[in-house]
Amino acid sequence: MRVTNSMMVNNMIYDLNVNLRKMNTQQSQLSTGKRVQAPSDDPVLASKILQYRSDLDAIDQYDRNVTDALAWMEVTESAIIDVNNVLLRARELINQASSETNGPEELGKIAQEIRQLKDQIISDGNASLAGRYVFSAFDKEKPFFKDDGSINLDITDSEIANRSEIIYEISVGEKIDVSTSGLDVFGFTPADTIMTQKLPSDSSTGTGATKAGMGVGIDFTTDFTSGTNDDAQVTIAIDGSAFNIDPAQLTVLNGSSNPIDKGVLLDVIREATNGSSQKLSDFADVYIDASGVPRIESKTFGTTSTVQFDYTADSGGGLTVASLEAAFGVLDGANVAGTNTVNASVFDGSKTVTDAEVLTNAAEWKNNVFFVTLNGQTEKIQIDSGATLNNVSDLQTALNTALNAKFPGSEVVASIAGSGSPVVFTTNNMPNDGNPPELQVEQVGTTESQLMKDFDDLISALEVGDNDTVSTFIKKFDDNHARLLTVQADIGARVNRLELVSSRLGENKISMTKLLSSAEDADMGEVIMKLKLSENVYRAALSTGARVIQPSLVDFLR
Amino acid sequence: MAGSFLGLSIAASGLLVNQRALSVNAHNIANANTEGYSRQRMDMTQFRPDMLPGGLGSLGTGVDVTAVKQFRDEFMDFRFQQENTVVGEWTKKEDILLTLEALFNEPSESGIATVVDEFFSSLQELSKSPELLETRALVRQRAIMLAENLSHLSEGLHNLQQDMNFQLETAVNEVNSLADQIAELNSVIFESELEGGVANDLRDQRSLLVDKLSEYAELQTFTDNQNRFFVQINGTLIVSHIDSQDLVLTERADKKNPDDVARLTDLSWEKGGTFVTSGGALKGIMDMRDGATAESKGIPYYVEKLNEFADTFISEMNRVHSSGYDLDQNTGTSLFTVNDLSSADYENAIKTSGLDGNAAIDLTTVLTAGTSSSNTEAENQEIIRKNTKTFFANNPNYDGKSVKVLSDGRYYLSDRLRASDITISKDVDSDLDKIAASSTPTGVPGAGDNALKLNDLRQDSGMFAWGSPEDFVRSLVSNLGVDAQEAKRIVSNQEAMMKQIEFFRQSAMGVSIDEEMADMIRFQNAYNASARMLTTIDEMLDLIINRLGTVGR
Repeated sequence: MRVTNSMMVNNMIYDLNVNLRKMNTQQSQLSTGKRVQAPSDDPVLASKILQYRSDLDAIDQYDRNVTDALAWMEVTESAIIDVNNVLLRARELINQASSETNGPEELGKIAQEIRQLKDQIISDGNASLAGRYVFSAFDKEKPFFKDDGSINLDITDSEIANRSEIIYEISVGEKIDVSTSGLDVFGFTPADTIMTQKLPSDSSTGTGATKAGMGVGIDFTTDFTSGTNDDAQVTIAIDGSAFNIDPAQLTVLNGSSNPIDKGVLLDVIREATNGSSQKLSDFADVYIDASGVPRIESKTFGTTSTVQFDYTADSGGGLTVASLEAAFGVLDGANVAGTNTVNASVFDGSKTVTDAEVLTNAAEWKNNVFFVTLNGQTEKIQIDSGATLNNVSDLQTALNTALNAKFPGSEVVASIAGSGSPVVFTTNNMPNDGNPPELQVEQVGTTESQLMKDFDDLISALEVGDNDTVSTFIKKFDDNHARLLTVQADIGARVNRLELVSSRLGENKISMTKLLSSAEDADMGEVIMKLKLSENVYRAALSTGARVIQPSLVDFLR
Repeated sequence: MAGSFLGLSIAASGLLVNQRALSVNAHNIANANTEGYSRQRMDMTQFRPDMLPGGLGSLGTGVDVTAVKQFRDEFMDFRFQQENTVVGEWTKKEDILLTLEALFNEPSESGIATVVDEFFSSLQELSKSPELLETRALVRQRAIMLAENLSHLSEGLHNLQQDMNFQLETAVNEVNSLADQIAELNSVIFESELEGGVANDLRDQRSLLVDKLSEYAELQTFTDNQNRFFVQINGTLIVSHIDSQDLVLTERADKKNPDDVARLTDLSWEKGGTFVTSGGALKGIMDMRDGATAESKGIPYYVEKLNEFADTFISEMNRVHSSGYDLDQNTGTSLFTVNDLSSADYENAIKTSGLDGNAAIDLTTVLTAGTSSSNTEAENQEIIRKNTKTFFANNPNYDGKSVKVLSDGRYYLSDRLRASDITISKDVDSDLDKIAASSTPTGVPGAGDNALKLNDLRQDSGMFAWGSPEDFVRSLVSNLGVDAQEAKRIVSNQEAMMKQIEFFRQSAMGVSIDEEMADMIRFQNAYNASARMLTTIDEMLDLIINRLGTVGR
């Protein structure tokens, strides 16, 4: 082989370049500390790195969630421990007060201290973390107790039946409820029982409107070119507006393929226009359904929604009405219609109300707050305090006045058929979009906690100096205490679980960080070794190159 | 019997020929570094000898030049051009894929994967304290980042596509200019060679031009029996002897892919017919600019994938978000929309003109078939996904469209959202209360269960054919990585191969200074000796003419 000077120079440059490229990779590995600079360096590793990163990110977030949950639980727990101590002191005082030797003056002093204890409980019940009250369920921004010890929140019947849960996610798919309801801690006394029985606490879902739609058994092998004058007309009336399929379009269909392409035929139907050149596709949905049958569906709901097929035969005797009927699988003039909305909500009829009851309980009716939720919008309803309530008809009027203030336009109407009939709520808000109307009526389930009631009763017993009654409070306070212990145990269990998860997350984090590091981080020692190696090769290449390319015969010719 | 002056003419021929040989020598040395130059040699031969009578043999009559030849291995030229075509194609692809990698910027602390992670983290924070404006502000900020990141990526891809179009224009100009030059040289060479000689240097120049042209497209070259030279690309003549055919760019009437940038051009021949090539930089550029399939992943493929991600992710987010309740107990708000629209405007736009400018198709009837209120939400979702799959299988002309649930709870078939258009909804942008963290109106303000539902989408492995949102991003990045790696590998292999071919080529045609020097001495010596010969013969003649016959004078 002939070797020329320029070949040697080119070779040297190429080899130097290869060396430099290698060194460049190693240099960037060293200066960034990362093995992979771009996915193309190692696509599999790059994808793993992304996965580990996002896992690590999730673990960090779960860790923060656990920390937050623990902080929340700790505030809850310390408040409960405090309540516990207060109860123990109260029990001591009750013991002391039940002894016959105490005169009214001593009892008065004891009552004084009990009052202080009650205030202490109120402040414990309003325990908060960063301005959020721990016992207030979803109303975290409201204290649980009012200053006088009554419950500050609107506790509905459904809340009593099912406590709200505040859920934190502490690991993939693993969730924990961090809330502790004040109802569980302090107990509750059911609200006025008469009212609860008279007003339904119920929800009802009506039926949504439907729309007209028909499956069309189109025969895709139909030869639309057989029309002699090509003026066979297919008309599809949507909600009474007639859309004509362009006859020319129909004949074009067979020009390219047989059977006709489904998509193309449906496009032709969609492009049908009415008298005001509106497209059918703006008024009806045309598509192939799950069983492969083309379907035409009006976009409107209710009884005005219709779909109807009409055919006109080709004037030259080509396509007949019969052949068009066969092609579309729908008879001439066939017509389907949608249905209208059904009213929502008729409540349980057993909860009746009589004239006599209305008269007797007029004050309670006026006091009673209830909640009406219509399609997700909740309003607080209360009968005007100035209303006259003598019979069921007055009650109905008063209820409707209150309802109309919050749901204008008689969206929600209360009706009582007569004395002895139930109170029925109905909505006339019937969205014509297929969605059923939803109506829910609820009332306040409780306004006072058991513990506060016991305190109040105790204080009044002490104030009148009734030793016997006072002694019955030992049992009541023991009940309160027992309830508290249950809650405490539950909190303890949850804190325990959180701590377990927390330590598991810690371990996960360490192992995930290790994995990430082994995937992502360059092994410095190894890279430096390799760099040194490449450098040696590079130096050798430079020095031999410099020697070899210099001399030529010219240097030695005299 | 040789004449007295024969020696003179022999010596003179030696002088002349060796002098010429030295000129060729000098020409080689002078062009030692000229690109595409192939070394030349002068072939010499003896003059026809005089036959001596009586069977005494022949008497030499001197030297003569037969030809100046060049050393060129045409097979190596062919291989060079062939491999150069591959280099041209893949260098372009590598170039673009590496740019794409830089655009996606993964793995890093600021790529789309991180942005998605951070968005989900913010939802966790929201689920813990939905009543706080701080956490709501965090969610909004992260949502804006996500939307901006998507549109930034999309914009980057579009810019790159625009740039590709520009590169194509430049490449086409270069190809046309090369073809013109080859045609011009053809005419000069043809004229020069009419007498039968070979125009060495001109042919070198032409070969160089063909080498350069081979970078752009796969070429076939041939010379016909009339010594006319032709260059073909995929069967169409680009150079036909002294004529060349230009490539022309025409603006596309219809977009090839739905989200292409405007005013892309198509390549065709000046005399009609579309331009097709199976290799070269032109193919590299066009593949990357137009490739939308999994087999040929160009920029449109990544644009489509990004749009698929944006569309599905955002539709799912909106589905869950709009089912929740905000701080004012309102429901039905979208978290993300397009072009800063409010939720209501966005939904209206989809309903009235969401499908190729027409009304979106309401598919609720077909998609919700089989669902039941006694199922869990996840079970129903599963059924709906299955129905959706069946629907798209039954309606192949809706490929690339997507189904969105709007706040009326109905399912609409519409165009995919474009990643470049995604923004957060105007409602949420102007009012933090609009973020729907609670899934019930009664849970407001403290319930964060809807935020958790949004967060659960992070693990939703049924969201994409490629799995969960994070899986999708990962697959996209590793797809890109595999492609770029392949391009890098091919380019580096090809470089090694080219080096080898060039080595063989240079071995034949390269100028070796040492060799030229040795020849120079050889010819110089022969020249000197011929001159000496001339002197000797001159002296002989001098002897005969001037000094002979002077005896006795």
